[in-house]
Amino acid sequence: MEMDVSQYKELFISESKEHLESLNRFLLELENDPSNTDVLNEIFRSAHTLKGMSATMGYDALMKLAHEMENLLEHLRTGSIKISAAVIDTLFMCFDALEAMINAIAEDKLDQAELETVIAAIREIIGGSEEQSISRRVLATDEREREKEAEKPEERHEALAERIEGEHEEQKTLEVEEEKLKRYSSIPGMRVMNVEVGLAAGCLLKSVRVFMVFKKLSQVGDVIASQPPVEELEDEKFETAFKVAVASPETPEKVEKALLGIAEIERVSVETILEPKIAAPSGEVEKPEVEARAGTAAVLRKTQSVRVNIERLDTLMNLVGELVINRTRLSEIASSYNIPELREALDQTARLTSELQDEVMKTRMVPVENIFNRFPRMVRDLAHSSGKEIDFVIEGKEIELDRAILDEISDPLVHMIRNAVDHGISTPEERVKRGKPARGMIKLSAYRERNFVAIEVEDDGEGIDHHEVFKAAVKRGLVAEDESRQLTRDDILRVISMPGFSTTEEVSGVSGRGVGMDAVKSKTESLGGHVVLDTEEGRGTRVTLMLPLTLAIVQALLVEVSDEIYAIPLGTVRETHVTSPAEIKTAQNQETIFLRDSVIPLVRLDRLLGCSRVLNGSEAFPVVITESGHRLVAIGVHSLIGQQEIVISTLDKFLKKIEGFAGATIMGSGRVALILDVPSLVF
Amino acid sequence: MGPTVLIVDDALFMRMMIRDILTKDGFEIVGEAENGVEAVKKYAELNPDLVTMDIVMPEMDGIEAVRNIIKNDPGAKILMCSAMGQQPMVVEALEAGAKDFIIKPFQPAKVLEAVRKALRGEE
Repeated sequence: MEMDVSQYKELFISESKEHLESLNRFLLELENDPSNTDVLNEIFRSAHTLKGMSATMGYDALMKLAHEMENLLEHLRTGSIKISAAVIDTLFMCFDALEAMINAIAEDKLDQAELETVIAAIREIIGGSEEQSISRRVLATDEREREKEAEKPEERHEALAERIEGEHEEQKTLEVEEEKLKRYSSIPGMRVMNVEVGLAAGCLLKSVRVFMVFKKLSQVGDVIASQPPVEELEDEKFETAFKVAVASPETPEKVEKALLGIAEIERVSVETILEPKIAAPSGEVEKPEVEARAGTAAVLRKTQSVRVNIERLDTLMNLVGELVINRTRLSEIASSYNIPELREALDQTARLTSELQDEVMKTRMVPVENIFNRFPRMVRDLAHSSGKEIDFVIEGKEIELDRAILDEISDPLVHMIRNAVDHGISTPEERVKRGKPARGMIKLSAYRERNFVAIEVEDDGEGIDHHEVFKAAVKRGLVAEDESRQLTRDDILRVISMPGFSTTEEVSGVSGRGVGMDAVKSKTESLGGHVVLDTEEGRGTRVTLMLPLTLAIVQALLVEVSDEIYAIPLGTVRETHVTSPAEIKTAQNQETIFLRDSVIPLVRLDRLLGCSRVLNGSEAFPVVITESGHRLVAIGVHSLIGQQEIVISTLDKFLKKIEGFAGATIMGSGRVALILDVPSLVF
Repeated sequence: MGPTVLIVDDALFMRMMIRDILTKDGFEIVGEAENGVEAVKKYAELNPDLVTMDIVMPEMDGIEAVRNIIKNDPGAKILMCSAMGQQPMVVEALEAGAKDFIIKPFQPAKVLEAVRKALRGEE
C-alpha cells in the first residue's frame, strides 16, 4: 500500500530546515568542545530525524546521506572514533550536502548533491569494510550487557540460546533430544509443541521479530530448540520462516494466538509433539487480566502552534491595512459632520484595529536568530581558509523582525560579514605587529532603537583608510579630485557603495571593502531602512543597518508644503520646532539652526522639491528635526498636520528611481501623499 | 469514537503522518508529545488506549519514557517507532515493556496491523 506523501512536503521542508539550523549550531559547539556529549547527542538526533523523515518522503539520496552521517555519529558516541578536525570537517561537509539537497527538494529539483564524495569521506573515517564488524560488535556488547543486567535471565533468548546450544550444533532439522523431551514430558501438564512461524514478506528487523517470538514463548513456557539455531536467527540468516520447539502447559491455540498478536507475524502453525501427561485445566497459568482502565472521557486537547503560510499573513496584513485606511476615512467624516456618537464608536474601532494590527504584526515577527545562526559557520570557514583567528560574537539574537525583512537582509549581512573577515581583520602576525591581540573580533548584534531594529556588524580590524578610498575613487573617476579633501564617514559610505567602486578588484588594500556595499545599501533602502558606517583607521569598522520593524504600516508625521501633503515616518522624527528666520545662520553655504547647543543643518522642503510656493524669508515656519544614523537634519515645511498611521504602498517601476521617496500612501480623504525617505532626500 | 491514541515523536512531520494514518482508520488521537517527559505526563493525564513512541527524542528518550509509563501502568500499550538500524534500542524498549514496533518509513497497512495487534493484546 503506497501512500501519497506530497501533502506533507511543505511540513517536511520547514521541519528539515529547523533541523539544519540546529545541526549547524551544534556542529560549531562540538568543534569548540568535542567532549560535550549532549551536543553530540543533539547532532545525532537531528541526523536521525532527518533520516526518518526523508525515508518516509521517499527522498532516497537524502536518507542515504543522513544514514551515513548517523553511522559516523554513532561511532563518535561510542568512542570508537575520536573527534578530530577531519571528523568535524566531514560533518560540516555532510551538513552542506544535506542543506543543498533539502534546498533542491524545496525547489522541486532532484535531490542529488555530490552524495558520493561525502559518503566516501565518511566511509574513509569509519574505515570502509570495518564498519559492519564494529557496529556488530557494538550491538553484541550492548546485548551482552543487557543480559547481565537482566533480572530474569530465563526470559532472555540469548540465555536460552546458550542452554540449548548443544542440541542443534550439527543438526539441520528441528529435533529435540530424547532426554530433554523426557524431562519436559515428566512434568505434569507440560505439552511439547513444534511451532512454525512465518514472517510477512519484506519484514524489516527480522531479528527483533524473532526476539519477540522467543519472548512471547518464554512467557508461556520454555523454548527448547530452534531451527535455524538462535545465532542464525539473530543474524537474520533465514528467509521468512523458522521453527521453535516449546514446552508449555498452554494449548496450541493459545500459543498460536499469542504469537499472532505480534505485528508482521503472518503465519503460525503449532503441532503437538508430546501430549501432556495430565491435562492442565486451561486458564490455570493464565496471567491476570489487566484491569480495564478508566475511560478517556476527560480528554484535554491543546493546540500549541499552527503553521501558517506566509502568504496568508501577507493577505491578512493587507486587509488590516485597508481597514486602517477606511477607519481613518470614517474618522474624517465624523469630524467634518461633527457626529459625536460616531466619533465615540470610531474611537473604539480605532483601538480594536490597532490591537488587531499589532497582533498580525506580531505573528509575522521572527527572531533574528533565524538568520544569525548561519553566520558562525560562515565566519569559521572564512577564517580557516584565510588563516585568520576570529572570535565571532552574536548579541541580541532574540530581537524580532518582520519575516519579510529578515529574508531580505540575509544576503546583505553575508556581504557585510564577509567584508569584515576579508578586509577588516588581518592575519594574526600583522595584528600582533600593530599591537593588537592575535585573535580578531567580529560582533554581529541586533537591538531595538525606537521604531527601528538595528543590525550591526562590527570588527576590531584595520578600519577603512580614508585616503585610499579617496584615491581609488578618483582613479575610477567616481569623484573629482577637488571634490573634497576631508571625507566624512557618510562620504566614505557613499563612495564605497558606488557600483563602480565595488566591482574593482585588488587595487589597494581597501579595494575589497566595497564588495557588495552598493547591494547592501540599496537593499536596505528599498526596505525603508538606511545604512550607517562608522570607521576609524586602525581601530575597526562598524556597519549598521537601520531597519523598520515592518514593511506595511508605519506611524508618520504628516506635513504640508505648498498645498501638498507629505508623510515623514515617525521613526526618523525626533521632534518638531517652530523656527524664526532670525534663528537661521548660514555657514559654508549651508543654512543651519541652533537648537539646545547643537547646530543642525536645515533643509527647506519647498526649495528642495522645487515647489510652486516658497516661503519668503521673513516668515516663521515649522521644522521637523529628523535623525538618521546619529545625524540630525531639520526639515523646513509650511505646516504640520499631525501624526497618523499610514499604509505604505511602494512606488512602481517608473517612480522608484526618484530618490527621496519611500513610497506613497492613500489618505482617508482619498488623496495620495508621498512618503519622504529622509536619508536619501537630504544626505 | 475509536480507540484513543497518544502520539509521541519529536518531529511534527512524523506526528502528522501517524495522525493521518490512524485518523483515517477511525482512531482518535487524543494527544501528542514531542519528548519523553511530555509523553509520561500526557499518558497519565489522558490515559490513552495506545501510545506510539519514537525512540530518539530530546529531554527523555522513548525507551526511558516506556519504562516510566509501564512503571505507573503495567498494562500500557506502547508501540515503538523505529528507524532502520536500531535493533538494540528496539529490543531494549520491548524489554522495558513496549508491546511492538513499527519501522520508518511508515507503511499505513503495517502501522495499522501493529496498532490493531497491540490493542488486541493477549486475551
